[in-house]
Amino acid sequence: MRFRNHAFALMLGLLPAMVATAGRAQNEDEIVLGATCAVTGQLAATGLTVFHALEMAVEDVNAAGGVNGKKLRLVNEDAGSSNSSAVTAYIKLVQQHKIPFAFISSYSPQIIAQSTEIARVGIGAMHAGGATDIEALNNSYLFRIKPPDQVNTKAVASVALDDLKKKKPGLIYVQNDYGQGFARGLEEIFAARGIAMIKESYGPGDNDMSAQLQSLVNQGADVLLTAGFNRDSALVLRARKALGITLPVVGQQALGVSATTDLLEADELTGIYALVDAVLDERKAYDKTDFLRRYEERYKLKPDPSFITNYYDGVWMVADAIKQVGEDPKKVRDFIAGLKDYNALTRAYTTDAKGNMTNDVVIVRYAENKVQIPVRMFSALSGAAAPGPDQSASDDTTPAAPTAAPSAIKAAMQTMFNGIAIGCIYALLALGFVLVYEATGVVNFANGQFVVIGAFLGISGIAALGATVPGTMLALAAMIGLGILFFFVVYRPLQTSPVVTVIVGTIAVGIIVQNIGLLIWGPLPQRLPSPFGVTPISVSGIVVSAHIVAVIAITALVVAGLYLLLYRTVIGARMRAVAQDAEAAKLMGINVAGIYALTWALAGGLAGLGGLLMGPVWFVDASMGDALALKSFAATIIGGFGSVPGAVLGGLIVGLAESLGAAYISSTYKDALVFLLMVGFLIARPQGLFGEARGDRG
Amino acid sequence: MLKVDSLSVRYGAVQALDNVSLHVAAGETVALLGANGAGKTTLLRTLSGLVKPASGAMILGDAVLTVGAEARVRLGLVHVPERRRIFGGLTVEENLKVAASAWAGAAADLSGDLDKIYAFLPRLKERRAQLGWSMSGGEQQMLAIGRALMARPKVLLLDEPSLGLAPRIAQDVFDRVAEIARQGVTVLVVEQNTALALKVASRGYVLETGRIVTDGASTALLNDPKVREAYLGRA
Amino acid sequence: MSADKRQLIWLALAAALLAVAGLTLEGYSLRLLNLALLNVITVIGLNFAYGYCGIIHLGQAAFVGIGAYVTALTTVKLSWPLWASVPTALIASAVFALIVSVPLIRLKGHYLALATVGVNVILELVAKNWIEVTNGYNGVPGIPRLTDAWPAVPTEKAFLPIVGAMALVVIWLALRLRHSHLGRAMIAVRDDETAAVTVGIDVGRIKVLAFTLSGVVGALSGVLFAHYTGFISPTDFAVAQSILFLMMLVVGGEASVLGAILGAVALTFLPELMRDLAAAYVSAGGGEKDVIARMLKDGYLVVYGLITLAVLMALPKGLAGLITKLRGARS
Repeated sequence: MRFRNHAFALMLGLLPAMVATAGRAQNEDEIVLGATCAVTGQLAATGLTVFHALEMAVEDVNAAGGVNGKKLRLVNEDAGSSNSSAVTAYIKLVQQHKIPFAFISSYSPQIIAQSTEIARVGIGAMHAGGATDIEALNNSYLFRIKPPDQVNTKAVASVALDDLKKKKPGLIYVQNDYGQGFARGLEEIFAARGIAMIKESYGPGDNDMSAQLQSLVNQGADVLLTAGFNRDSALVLRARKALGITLPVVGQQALGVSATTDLLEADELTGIYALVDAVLDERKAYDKTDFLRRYEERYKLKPDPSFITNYYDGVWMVADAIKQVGEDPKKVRDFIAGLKDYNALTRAYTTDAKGNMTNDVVIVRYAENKVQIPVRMFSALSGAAAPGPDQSASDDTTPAAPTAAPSAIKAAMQTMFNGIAIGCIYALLALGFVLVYEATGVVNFANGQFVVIGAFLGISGIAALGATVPGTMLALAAMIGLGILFFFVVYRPLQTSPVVTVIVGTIAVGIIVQNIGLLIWGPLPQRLPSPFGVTPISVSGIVVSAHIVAVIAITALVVAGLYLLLYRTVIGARMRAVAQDAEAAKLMGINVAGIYALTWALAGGLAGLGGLLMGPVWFVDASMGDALALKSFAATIIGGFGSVPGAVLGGLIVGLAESLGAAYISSTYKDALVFLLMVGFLIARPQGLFGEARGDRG
Repeated sequence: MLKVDSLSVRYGAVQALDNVSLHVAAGETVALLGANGAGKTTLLRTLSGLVKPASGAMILGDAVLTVGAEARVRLGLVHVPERRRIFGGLTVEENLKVAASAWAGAAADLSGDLDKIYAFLPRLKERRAQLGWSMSGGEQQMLAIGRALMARPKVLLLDEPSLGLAPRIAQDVFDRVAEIARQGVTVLVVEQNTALALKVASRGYVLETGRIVTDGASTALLNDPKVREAYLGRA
Repeated sequence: MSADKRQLIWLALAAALLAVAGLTLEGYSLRLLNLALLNVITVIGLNFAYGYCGIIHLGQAAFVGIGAYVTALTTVKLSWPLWASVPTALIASAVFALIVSVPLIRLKGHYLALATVGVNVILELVAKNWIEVTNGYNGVPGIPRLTDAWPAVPTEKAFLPIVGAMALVVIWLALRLRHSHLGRAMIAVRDDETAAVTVGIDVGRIKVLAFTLSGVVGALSGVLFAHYTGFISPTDFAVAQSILFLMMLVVGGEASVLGAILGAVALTFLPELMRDLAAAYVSAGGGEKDVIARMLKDGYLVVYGLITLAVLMALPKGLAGLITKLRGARS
């Protein structure tokens, strides 16, 4: 009987496989250009912008008459968020369409994963992945449309050493493939010049890089180098300003794009060096197509000049290739490989033996009001600094006096303060967990995503009502409503199910909520306006901002308020009664369902508050929810699941551990430490610091 | 006041109650006797709304009971569960206060009712700020009764009030129950301690494997051999 | 005919079906099938821990990762042959599972779930940051591929018999285990731990065994994955993957080998099905940018979550339970 079912199951599985087989019929009078951009998941931030650029380029080519009398059609297969899905997308692409050329992922590990198939299939592929490991693949079908990371590292080093004449570079970088590669590259370059580079790193989901920056200063760095992505780079610059560090900063492309600079104030950018792939000169030919303006109008995103124009150029180049040599992939590939001083719309491209189509990058510096002033072009081929129009400007970036390292005590206090501030957010989340768990026995794995939605709703609310405070209040109300909705739609139906069903259910809700958030608010990081000020001010040597003080104050108020509610009111007593024995509570006439709804409403409000407090200072983007949830789990476990004071203490401990760990132990492994602590507690003392050892519900 | 009509309850394949019928007149005290597993607790839990019957009806006053547990408390039907189940993490006074939920809003002044309960059960007043779990078995039972009274019951269902208590304390408890009955509250008490139960009750029912096997006046039941059999099983 | 013989016949039929698939399907569908079969192996492993023994395991991806990394690093960096690297990978996973399970099995419910998450996260962080050994985020490329032995045959076609055979073997072993003394003991532990103790079952030992078994089978999947794709990186083994595995098992129907298969296959193919639906919608005249098309194409994760939720609420025994119901409970 059961074995029949197994065969049946395998058949069930094969059916979709057979359905998916059907190739799409190809129109004879069109040429398909293939692409594998990630349009879902964490990589969608860049994937979508690239896809839009390709889309517009294809339309422009068609508007100009197409290629050899045929129209171009862009087909994109979603590369997804894993290496595996990128490979699958590529295989699907080439199987279902005859393409002369492809535009693939811009995320290096995905490109490396796709490489074998690309070589096997023998179709040229253009990408914007910078990692040096890609060259090591020796894949003659891969073409890099933007300067390789090697060029960027050389450019950054050149600014630090040649323009600014510094001797002790300190790098702060993000712990991912990009940051690690950049760090490695820079270290080698400096080592070849006899200079030891100091470095500190942070996790992609981190919120506070002050400890790392302070450490670099303490170690005597005379110039700060940064390598990261959007949200985190903005946080680095913000922290630098807040700490009053006046060291010059040289960053890479992340500092050059609006996705980052939109999050910052103008004075956080003044004097900073960054790299951009192309300077869009208004006088150049492409202005006729008015590309950037049209892009922004259509997609409501400020285009990132680094990626957008390169891919735009790429489409035109491929179109030209097909015009000249026809649709045979090998011929197109050879054409692209042989480009020399090819004048595309933004620059001239020359393909080298390693498949790099451009080896220059432009160094810019920020003047007032976020205006980028080009300093000079850096070319890896020539290597040396070519004089540019703004050479003289480099002189006034040297600070008058070196930044004095603060006393160890002051530094420790600043670190602790920062830790407490972010710890408050974790505490609010942990409180949400504890309340819900106490009352209903459910651990809401979706809580982290709720926080993100709270922040997003804040942005929309403020935009809709045009005023910060009413918008924030509206968002808070919406979050409370979301909590109640959750109660009716998810909790109620699953109330009598076993514990793991509920856990998986809340996880499923988290996935739903996160992706709806992504679909509605997009993948780029956002900054929430705050009713308090976010400008940092120095109070006896400790840097604070009104908003951060508000975070701590509001958290304290909320905790006090919750305490009063639970221990000084009848409703609170009823909530605790329900938490202890829901059945007995029913027998006492307590409206148990009403108490549950109230609890979930409170949890929604707490999460929303967390997001609204977090958004202005630490920014928010759709991928943050998981990291937040994990940290607040750790907080709840350490503090004790069944305990309100435990939740608060746990949150503060995790926040402090993050800050202090980064400052004094290891910025690389501080997160691992937090989780080791969590697992340690689970093994040795699952009730945490404050919880009571009670028989587990489950 | 309280009437049960051909009530049947099933737990999966097990028939916990089979066509049970009984009644309690207003102001009466009736005992429900039987060995472990006979179905006494099930009957009370069905009456108070925690368990859904497969068939049959329950009537309180002149209304058929179909509402949920919390609503039944509002109608005056209060169930003191087996093993007390007071809220261990709440103080004595909090335990009492939450029990007024059925008729009092969140901001209501409960001092009048509290004073009455404290007068009736002075030991509770002594321990009003103490946490529930720190009290002895007897004190917890008093608290459970006090809680039930706070709910202003018209009909009181008691599930094995003497369970785990020393004889003198159990007697104390039943004295209180008798006093409550004298105030006019209708009482249905489930007990294994037949003697104690039949002393306060005027009538009794005997339940065996889900069926009523005997009923009658207390005095008669005390001497009925069938009662003994129901506890000890047939020879 | 004995149950064992029937079992073998159905497995042989399944093998035949896979062979037909391998010969007729194209590269892309075969790739999905291969990935689905890998997931089948992983989820059957997970089933031992969760389905049979009730251990809420949100860290299976970590064990897949251990298997993948150990075999990848030993073959790439130490040039070990496969017959040395693969057993090493499996043993490493078993040892790690053993060590980790001993303290973990004392936990229950969400405490246990969070502990497994913690283990997964810690391993992820090590893989991402211990650059000297694991190459960090950039992962390990150049892993020798099993399909290199037949260079003339396209990769996907060549891999299918390998993963198909392994999947069938694992299915067969799982079925044997289910009806063995050990299997019954595991289920007894899941159903009622207290009762299991009273009949003399060493609950702790059984849980450790189940967890270790789960880890080894997961590692097997990881080994196959590494030598199939030729490239692994830490993001392949993140907590998000573990969550997906558990979702596959729950949706398919826990405590059932059939359920593991159904869930793995269904959720592996789901994104593709949705994209096909989106394409069908568009060619049927729907707008490419309107809500339905967008949801189907880009919102497949939302649908994933909704389907999981729906199954949890309406079909507690998952898809396997649905099939059993539809075909009449005759077992």
